[in-house]
Amino acid sequence: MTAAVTIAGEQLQLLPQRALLWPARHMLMVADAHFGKAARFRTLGVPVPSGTTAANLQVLDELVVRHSVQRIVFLGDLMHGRLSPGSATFHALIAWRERRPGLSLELVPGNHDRHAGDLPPALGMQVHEDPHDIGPFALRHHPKPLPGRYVLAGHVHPVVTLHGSGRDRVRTPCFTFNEAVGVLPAFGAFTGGYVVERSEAERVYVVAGERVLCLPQPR
Amino acid sequence: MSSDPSVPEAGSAARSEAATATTATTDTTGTRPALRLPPEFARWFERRGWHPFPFQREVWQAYARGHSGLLHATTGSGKTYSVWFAALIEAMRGGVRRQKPSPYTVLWITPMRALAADTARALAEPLADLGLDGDWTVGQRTGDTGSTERARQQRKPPSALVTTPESLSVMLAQAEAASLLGNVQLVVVDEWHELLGSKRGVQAQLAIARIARFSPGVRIWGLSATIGNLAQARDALLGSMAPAGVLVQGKVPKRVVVDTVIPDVPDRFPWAGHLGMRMVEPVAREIEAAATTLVFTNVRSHAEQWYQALLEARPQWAGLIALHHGSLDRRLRDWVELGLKEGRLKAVVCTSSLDLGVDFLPVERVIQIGSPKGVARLLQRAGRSGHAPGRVSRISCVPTHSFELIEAAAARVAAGERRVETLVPPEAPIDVLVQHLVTVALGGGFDADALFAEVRTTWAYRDLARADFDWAIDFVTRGGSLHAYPEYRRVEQAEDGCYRVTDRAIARRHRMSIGTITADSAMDVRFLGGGRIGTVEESFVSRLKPGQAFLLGGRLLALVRIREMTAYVQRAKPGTAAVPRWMGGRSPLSTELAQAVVEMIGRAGQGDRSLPELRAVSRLVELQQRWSVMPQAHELLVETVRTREGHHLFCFPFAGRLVHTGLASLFGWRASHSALNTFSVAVSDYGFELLSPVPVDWKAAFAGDLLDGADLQTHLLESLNAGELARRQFREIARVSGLVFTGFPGQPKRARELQASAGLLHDVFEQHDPGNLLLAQARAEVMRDELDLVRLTDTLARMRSMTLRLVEVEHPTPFAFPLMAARIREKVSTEKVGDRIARMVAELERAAEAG
Repeated sequence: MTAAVTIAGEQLQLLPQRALLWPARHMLMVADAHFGKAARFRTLGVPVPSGTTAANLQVLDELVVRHSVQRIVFLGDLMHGRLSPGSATFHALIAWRERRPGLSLELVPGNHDRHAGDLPPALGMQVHEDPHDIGPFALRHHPKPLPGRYVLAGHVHPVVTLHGSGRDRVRTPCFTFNEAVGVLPAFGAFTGGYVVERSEAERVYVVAGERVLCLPQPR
Repeated sequence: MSSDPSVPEAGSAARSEAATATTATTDTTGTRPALRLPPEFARWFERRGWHPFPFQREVWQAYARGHSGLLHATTGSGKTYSVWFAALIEAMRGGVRRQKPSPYTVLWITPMRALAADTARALAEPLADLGLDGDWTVGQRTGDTGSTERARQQRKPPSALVTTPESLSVMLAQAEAASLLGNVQLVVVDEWHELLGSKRGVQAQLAIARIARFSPGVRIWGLSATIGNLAQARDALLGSMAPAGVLVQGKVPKRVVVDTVIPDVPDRFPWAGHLGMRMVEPVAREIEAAATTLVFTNVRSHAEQWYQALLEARPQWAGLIALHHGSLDRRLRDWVELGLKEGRLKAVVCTSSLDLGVDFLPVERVIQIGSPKGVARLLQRAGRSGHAPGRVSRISCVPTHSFELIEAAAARVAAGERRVETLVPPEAPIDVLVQHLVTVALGGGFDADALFAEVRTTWAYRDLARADFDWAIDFVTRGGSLHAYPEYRRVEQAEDGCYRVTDRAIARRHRMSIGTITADSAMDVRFLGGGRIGTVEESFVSRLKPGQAFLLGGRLLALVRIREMTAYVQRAKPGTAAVPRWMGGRSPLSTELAQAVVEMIGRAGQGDRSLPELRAVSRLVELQQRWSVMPQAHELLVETVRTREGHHLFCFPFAGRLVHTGLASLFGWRASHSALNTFSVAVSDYGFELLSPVPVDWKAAFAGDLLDGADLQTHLLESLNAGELARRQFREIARVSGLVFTGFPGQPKRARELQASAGLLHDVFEQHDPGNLLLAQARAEVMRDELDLVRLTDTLARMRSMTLRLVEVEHPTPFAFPLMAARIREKVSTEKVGDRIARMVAELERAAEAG
């Protein structure tokens, strides 16, 4: 179940797959996928199981089909580090691209992307300047406000901690929206989170399993 | 300043001599044929007017015969000289006297690096008098040892080295470990009881097995304070590395006095939350009466609060009393310890940070604030006092609520009867094994078969299955899953079959992260000018806003800003301050003490008023009997009551808070056969509360399967959010097995690209590598450590055999009240809680007066 929000006059949908859908434009926005992170860990001697890249791509596939997505814009940190040709992550990405030749793939680069260097041309990724303007929105990686635009961004990997009765405690990714900036949760299956401070100026939507729920405002 | 402690202070802190049970212990050592001491040693004792204790001779003799063993002795009883002299005597009589001892002849393992310096000094001290100072040198190597000193040791290794399990493992991770540690004659593990029950103890076992391999015939000696399973402690230390292990009974402190500081008017409705601050004045008077006092609290936050309260009660003590706990800067702690040694301090408020270590001769009194939680801990803390000649060790319990009066009496009886807790050593933890494999791969590499045999000589891994060992090897070489990861090479097998680490970055990170203590993400606290005060947990600081005040190291500080892993502060103006809460330190009431409490409650219920504590709680007992019952030792008390909040069940198994947490979930689940979300839960060491909006037929539930032992584990897993618990438990496992890298302690993370939380790793493993043995370990540790399944099973069996006293009461009773108060405190996090509980007490007092 998705949550519908109206931001800067546009109808947007917040998806439990930790992505944002703009139905009028058939556009999916995804922040902080961090492809290749698990492989990078393995190189450094931490045996993170493989499969996270494949799982991420499968989720993207499902969303593309279900919502008739024509464009995916990555709001930075698409790659965790340099993508070495011949690696499993490289092959998985190229194979996915070949299965979806008609899809427009676009990237507003983040800090990790800059360190990762150029993407393989076979990926067909259109790279924008930061910020990238579409309609009333400025798409960028860092959630820094811009006068006259509504910023949609990533970078923060926002999560909130919810307390239940007893020792019950849940940490879950979330979307946050204030009057000038909206922040998306990290999309990657192998990404952590940063606990965001609740404030009155901010509306928080949490990913609760298959649903996205709006949290009541703090007092 | 000091007055005679035997004169009771006038006023409220009435202490009856009847409350003083004295326990004298005799020496159990039999007579043995005297070992001929080399003349230098005989003269050494003579010059001091001392005679070797029989237990010391026993150790020397056993050592001379090639035995390993465990010496049971407490600090300040001459235990150091017993094992240390054993090695020196042998060196002297072996005709090798003029020959210099080999490097690292003696390895002395201490559990706390803070103790290393004092220990090294104590070992070096007699060398000159014995004429050995030219030959023998003593060095120390811990996490605090600087690179200059390490380099010096590399060039000129000392003949005896004082170190910690972690630093010893770092030495084992050196390529030349085998030659470096090839001449060890004696390994001593000091304060073995501190390590025995933890993974650090397992790490020590593995390290000793390695040394036994490098130095065949090495003798291994442990030193342990009083615990309930000394023979097992010996076996766990020696494994099958040194089969001929002896157990030597040392000198145990002469007399231990346990008494209680009794409040003026004990509450009828005890509340666990107010920390017994009304006891500040009586405690201040007790401190006045002794030269130097150690005031122990159970957790660091209480130490901070008590220190403040004592200063408010006696402003003239500024500079004369001090604070000591594990989160304070090393230099502050050193200053406090020096002050104690020199007798400059009147009192020190401290936590378990001062449980161990060299003796502070000036300490006359020990005060324990709140429950001591266990008999061993009570005795250990008592032993911190009375080391001056002719003094007794004396500990005074200060109850923070009325129930602790009963507990204090119970603790004294149990201590007198030496009903001391056992420590359960961990069995075959996979994470420690994984770490050890990388350590050994670094330290010259290993052959799988030979290392398997070596690891199985330790007690912890004596029954290790080859399949599990092979899994661990696979985990460090290929990732341990079904897939092989070409880019993953932590440990590699060379063509000769030997496993080694070749990647220098991996080697460096491993050496930096050796250890088994989970470093809670501690944040440095510094003044803007740079002075370091101590550490607090990141989670605490992250909740503070700039300008907000908190207490640390007895100082009122205001947060200015956070940079990297440092919180910068300045002095704050007086006002309300937050008190940091540090994780850990909240151990449950021990089984032994719990049993003693049950017996003491039974005595109180039978009208026994022979002890001052029992007289002090008579109003509480009288009301409990009027409204409900005082349970006898064979009775299980269960109270149900209806209030505006809903329907409450209060159950009192007296099994400690861990077990009660599990029982509460189990009861909730079995009573409703659904998730626990309809119940609110509160637990204490005495019992638990279940609150539901709808009535529950508890009578039928007790007649049914509520206390059943069958399907216990399944029901527990279903009732608790067991998955979430395992996820949290994975934190330590991930760190020990090298999955998360925390960098140098107290410094910002270096390897940014290696940042991933243990919880995240747990989820990824669960999804993509569910057969990983580390996941299984997390689940097993939750069952054993978080829920204490063994004790829970025993408790359920005991509850089934008891007579059920199910009482429907009109008001929450004195037994039930602390649980209600605890639940409200947990739910509401504002300062209004105090008011609300005060109002509840007033209402109940009115009900009690009305009859």
